[in-house]
Amino acid sequence: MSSYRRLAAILVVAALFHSSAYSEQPVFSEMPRWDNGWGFQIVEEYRTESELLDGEDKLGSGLSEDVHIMHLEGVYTWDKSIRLTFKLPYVIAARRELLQSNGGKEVQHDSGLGDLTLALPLKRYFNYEDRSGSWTLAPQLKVPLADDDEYEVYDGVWGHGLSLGYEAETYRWIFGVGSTTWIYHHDEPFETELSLKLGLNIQAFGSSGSIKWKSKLHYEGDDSTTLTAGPVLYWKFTETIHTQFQWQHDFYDYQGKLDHGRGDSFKLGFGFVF
Amino acid sequence: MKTILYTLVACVTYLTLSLNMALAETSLDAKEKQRRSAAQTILKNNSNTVAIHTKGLHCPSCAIGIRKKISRLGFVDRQQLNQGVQLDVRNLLVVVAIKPNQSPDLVELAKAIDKAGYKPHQAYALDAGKLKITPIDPS
Repeated sequence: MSSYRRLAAILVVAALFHSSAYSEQPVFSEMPRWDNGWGFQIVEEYRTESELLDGEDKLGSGLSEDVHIMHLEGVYTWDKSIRLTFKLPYVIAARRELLQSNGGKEVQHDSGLGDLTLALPLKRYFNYEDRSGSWTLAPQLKVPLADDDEYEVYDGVWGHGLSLGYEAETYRWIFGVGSTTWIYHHDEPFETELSLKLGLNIQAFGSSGSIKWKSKLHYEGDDSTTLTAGPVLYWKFTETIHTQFQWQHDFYDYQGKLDHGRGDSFKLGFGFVF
Repeated sequence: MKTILYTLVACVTYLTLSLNMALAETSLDAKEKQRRSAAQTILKNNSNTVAIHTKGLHCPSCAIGIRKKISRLGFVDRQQLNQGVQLDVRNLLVVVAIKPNQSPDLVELAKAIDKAGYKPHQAYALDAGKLKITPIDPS
């Protein structure tokens, strides 16, 4: 597919999503909605990609990448419409296999701090008889903390991002759309991600939670395009302790430059709000 | 890629229509009748309480700020209900337990709900067994 057609496809999807957007922020994009609220979440992520791709073509066989990351993320809400968030990832272990020029396999490893993301989500809430929700505008800054080695899960460069989002829910239904665009310093290509979530609120066992289906379309300036989707399960243990499990499967993967793809990612997190 | 796009369009259309149907399934009048009936039952079963009709109270997890803000108010009886507050997201009601021999400050309650991110609309209380409705506004 030509880059023009790929870009056109992304614009079509963006138009379908009403060109608005959604950006995940702690705690689980839900709380705290109240003045002077704060919280943090610890999320363990495991991602595995089973193929080395050049465009849509698979190179070699058995050339995989496995990444294990721990994320520490926090939020403080001054006023219900202004909050500050941070996200700090730590790569526990990462391993990827590449094809050498002689046909052999080269294995590379990475670990250590990832890049810090700071965001200032600005929210406009609406409360009606039949639904509640918010519009979000979130300027973001990526601070390079990762090393700049041969293999880095995080790029280790400064970046500027902007997220736009719309979320609404009724007693039963949850709907959200969003987009985030990042522009990086140096030669890193820009990134754009569109997301859509649809789900149901659940009340059971004296508490509440939700089950959602989340789809994401990720596009990078080098034409890399990935469409992922999967379920998100959220549960409130107490008013302080919350948990979320997320599974994303790659349904479509095109790598503009040689990279791994076609895999799954799993995230299990615990959040605490005060 | 085309197949994926068409599938996405179909899913978004179907779910958006489903959402609209869900929103329209109950008229506002019917909801208000149901809410008044629920408020009357709750107030009869819990003496010295007041119920606040709160617009937007649909997400039990987001609404925990309401309990945090209201339970700090001096006239709220934290020994009753759940720290003095019960949330009924089906009927958009915030039920507040009031300390004995004290009366609720509706403006303070409205401010607390507003700071928690929701819109207080009216208060329900029992007056000689009948439901008394008072409009409230945080400003």
